Amino acid sequence: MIKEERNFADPQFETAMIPGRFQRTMRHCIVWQLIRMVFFSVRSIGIIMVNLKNEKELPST
Amino acid sequence: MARLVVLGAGVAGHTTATFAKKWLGNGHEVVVVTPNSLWNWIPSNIWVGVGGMSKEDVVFPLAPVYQKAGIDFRQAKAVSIHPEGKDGSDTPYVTVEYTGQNKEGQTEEITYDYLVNATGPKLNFDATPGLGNGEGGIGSNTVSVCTADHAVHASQELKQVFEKAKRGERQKILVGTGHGMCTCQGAAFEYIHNIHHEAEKAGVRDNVDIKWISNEAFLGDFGMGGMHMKVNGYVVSSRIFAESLYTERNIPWIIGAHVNKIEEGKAHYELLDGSTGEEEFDFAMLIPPFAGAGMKAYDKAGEDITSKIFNPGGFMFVDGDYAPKPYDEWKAADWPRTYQNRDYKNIFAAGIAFAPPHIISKPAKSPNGTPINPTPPRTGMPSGIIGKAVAHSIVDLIKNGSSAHLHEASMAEMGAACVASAGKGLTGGQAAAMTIYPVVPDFDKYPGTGRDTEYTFGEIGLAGHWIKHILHHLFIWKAKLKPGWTLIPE
Amino acid sequence: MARLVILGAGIAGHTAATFAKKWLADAHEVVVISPNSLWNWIPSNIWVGVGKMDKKRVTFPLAPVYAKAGIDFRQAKALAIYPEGKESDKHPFVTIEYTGQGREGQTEALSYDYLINATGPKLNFGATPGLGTGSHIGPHTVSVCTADHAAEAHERLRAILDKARQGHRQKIVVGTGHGTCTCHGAAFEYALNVEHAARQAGVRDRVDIQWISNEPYPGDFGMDGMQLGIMGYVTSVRIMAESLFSERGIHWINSAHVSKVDAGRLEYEQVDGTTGEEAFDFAMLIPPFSGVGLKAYDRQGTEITDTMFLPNGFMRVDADYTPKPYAEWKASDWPVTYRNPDYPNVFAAGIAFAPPHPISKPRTSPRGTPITPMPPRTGMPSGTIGKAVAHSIVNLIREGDRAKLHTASMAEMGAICVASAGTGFQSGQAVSFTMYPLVKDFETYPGTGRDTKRTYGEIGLSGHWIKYILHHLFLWKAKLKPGWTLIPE
Repeated sequence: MIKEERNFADPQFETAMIPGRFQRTMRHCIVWQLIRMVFFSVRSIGIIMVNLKNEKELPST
Repeated sequence: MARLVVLGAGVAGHTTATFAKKWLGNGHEVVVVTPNSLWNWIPSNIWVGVGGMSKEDVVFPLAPVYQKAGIDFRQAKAVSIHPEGKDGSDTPYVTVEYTGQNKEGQTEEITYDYLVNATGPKLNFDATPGLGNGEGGIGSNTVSVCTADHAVHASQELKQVFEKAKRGERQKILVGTGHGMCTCQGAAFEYIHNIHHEAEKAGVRDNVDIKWISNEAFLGDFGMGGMHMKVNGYVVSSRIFAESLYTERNIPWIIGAHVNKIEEGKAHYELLDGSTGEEEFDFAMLIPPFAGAGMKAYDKAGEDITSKIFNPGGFMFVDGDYAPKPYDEWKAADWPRTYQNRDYKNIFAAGIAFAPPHIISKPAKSPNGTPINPTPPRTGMPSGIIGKAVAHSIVDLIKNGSSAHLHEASMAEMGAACVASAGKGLTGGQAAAMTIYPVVPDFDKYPGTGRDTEYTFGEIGLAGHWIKHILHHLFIWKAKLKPGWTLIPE
Repeated sequence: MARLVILGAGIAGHTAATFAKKWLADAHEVVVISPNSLWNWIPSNIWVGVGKMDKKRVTFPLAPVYAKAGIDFRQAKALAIYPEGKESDKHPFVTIEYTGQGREGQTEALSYDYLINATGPKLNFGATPGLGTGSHIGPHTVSVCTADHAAEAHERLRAILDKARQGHRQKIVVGTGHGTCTCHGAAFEYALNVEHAARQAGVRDRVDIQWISNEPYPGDFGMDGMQLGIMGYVTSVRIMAESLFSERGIHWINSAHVSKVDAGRLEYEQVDGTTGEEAFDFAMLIPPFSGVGLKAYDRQGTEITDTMFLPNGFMRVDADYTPKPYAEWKASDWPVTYRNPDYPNVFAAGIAFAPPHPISKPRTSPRGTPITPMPPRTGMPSGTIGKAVAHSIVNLIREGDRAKLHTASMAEMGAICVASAGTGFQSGQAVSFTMYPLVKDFETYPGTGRDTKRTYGEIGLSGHWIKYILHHLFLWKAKLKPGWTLIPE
């Protein structure tokens, strides 16, 4: 078990998802994170494209 | 030549009897006393309850199996235990009343050297007005999936509800627990998801409102205080796991509820915060609370010593620590290890029949003083493991005398695998597969979660359904003592 | 030759000014009025607040950048708008009061053809007794809203961590200082960064960190939370936020209006009417925002502030301000062109425009205290709106009244948000979100109000890298260095 699981002793922390060892390692795995960064960048470009697409021109009066 | 008498032929009793006979061979006698002529793989009853299996798929007659194994089978109900014998004889015995084998109603005394109480639960429908029929049986307002016959009836009623829904009549289905002190939420959980699944298959889900009601303090408690398990690489509460499943299937829930009265088409309940409410239904499957089988016990002089051997709920005292203490002081070490009766060393209890030292979930009461908390599950895998350990202990006692080492199977050091069906179907089925270690949380060893999250794990998918289906056949195979049965683990 | 006057040089104002100047070139005049001599990349202030960056790395002087771009920069505070001019001269103008450039205290009237109000928020510390006076922070708490505040926060945080190192247990409170705060993201990041800093200092077990906020639950962020795709599931950001807190042992108090702050102690009221107090050794509480307090006068000199602005000081634009219950709120209530309804040559961008209503469900305590997070209008939306408004005005200048206006409705706008959870090239972490649209639209997306394909979140080191790259990218862009126009808002 990982240290943070002790926090579940507090009822306020009941409904949390605490990453296990694997998730934790992946969060700091340089190679995997580079892939995630590319992934997130692609998603972000998607958002930017939508914003550009949604920018309409309206008559001023 | 010693005689072992096993009361009950459920998962625990059947496991004990078959292993004891196998290990003892013909040198000693094994007697099984059970009022039922049929063995029932209870976990599959929920599939009978939705019409996915017939009764015949989940039961088989015990007599031929026991005959082949050389076990003396008495289709009878245990009435009382006389652990000190009676005047003139020190040999302990049980009195039984036959329910079959053409000896119906006859009583008999069966002496024993060792006794295993594996009588399982009495389905205490009458604890809630309107849930029972006043005579110990199920009433007409609700259905149950606790026995194969109940499940058959449930499936017929469910079929009618689906037919009405198909005709466009909106139907309300209520599934859950019928009392504040129920256990076995898992069966109701499986049943509600199977109903959802069948309703979708029948194309009537839009016309059917499905609702959950239970005595758990939160969804996913399951009588085990919930659990934190690995899901997808995260450690999460079973609460999130369960709430997500219900949300995905659009099944709303009422939680922390003690159902206190049932009328035709209506359930009344009290919540943990003291408020009350009612819920209408066209179909309701509510699990009854469990009590002990109601056996009596007498000493040599014929004095009633039932309260010495059994707790007020009718469950047998074993080697647990039964001193009442507050929740904070509950320890994993309170839980029994050998299941030997504390007063009579030749009596053991296994499965639901033993008295747990306390509940596993945090105890809770409504402001009116009504206890609303799930009682601990002792079914399935733990029952089998305990049954086998008890058989082992008794065999050693018989073979090696009273100095023999007893086998331990503490629920606080026992893992369990549990597969909860969420719908049947070779490709469309789903089940939540969970492993949990230990069953009773040990907060000293595993601070925070009480369980070892390396071994407490959950996942939902079709694979879970396949496992559940394979287990069904595997355990019936094992219970029938077909070739290789000893290789199949508990 | 037309003159565009832009009040404010934050994300919205700076974006609008630089694009307008680029498009209009030397044919027209662009004037920026801002009381600050420095531009500040506000999202990085939290790193200043934990000592990972100094003020110089998140700010730069505006004057040289504007000089090079040909933008007329006046370091001054806008006082009042005269959208109808005066009796004598019908040309609209604004009055300003200098705060720098050697002309401190001088006032001036500056006429305009087009006006963009991008004044951002007034940090309304005075709204909570003890939090501060007017827009000035009091002595009891710290803030990360400006680079100077953040530097001060770091000084005090360092002292706290030193005390913890000496063995004294320390209590840190981070959150919002009023029931109507917005900008929870900054406080959220700061809480996680403080936790990270305490851990790096090796004193985490001697520091209690407490979150307090006006949100109904962690992860509301003033946007009514969101359902996001995460690891192939669609789940509420609440779970993600609570998990981050739980993993780090940060406790939370939600639905709280901080009603009073004293030295080392704060009082709060919750939406259910209960009250409580928290002692602290260090507190970072975000103040509520209001408009900067611009006045407006008509031609006769009669005050018309109430027609141009809402009572909270934010400017009316083309939104539907009719009061209606939460259930009837629509995505279409939100402004599209950010043009003032009465004066078509006045626009508002960024925090300065008045949102039609919150995004989160409004709630009041039994005593009548509103405890409702206000909608965030910072970062990416500010930039996007600023650019759209610049576009509209450029069109109007070039083509006259018949020109097309550009739209940037927050109900049709996606946003990317990276919330830091600690710095460090290898040890850093951040939560990266994309969401679409910002304002929930339940008609288009029943159930969640947002497109869950485009609403996505993840935590990891890559988020930190992205946040770090954005820091440099946006400073690059704000300095108008080569290729700045290619960097999206």
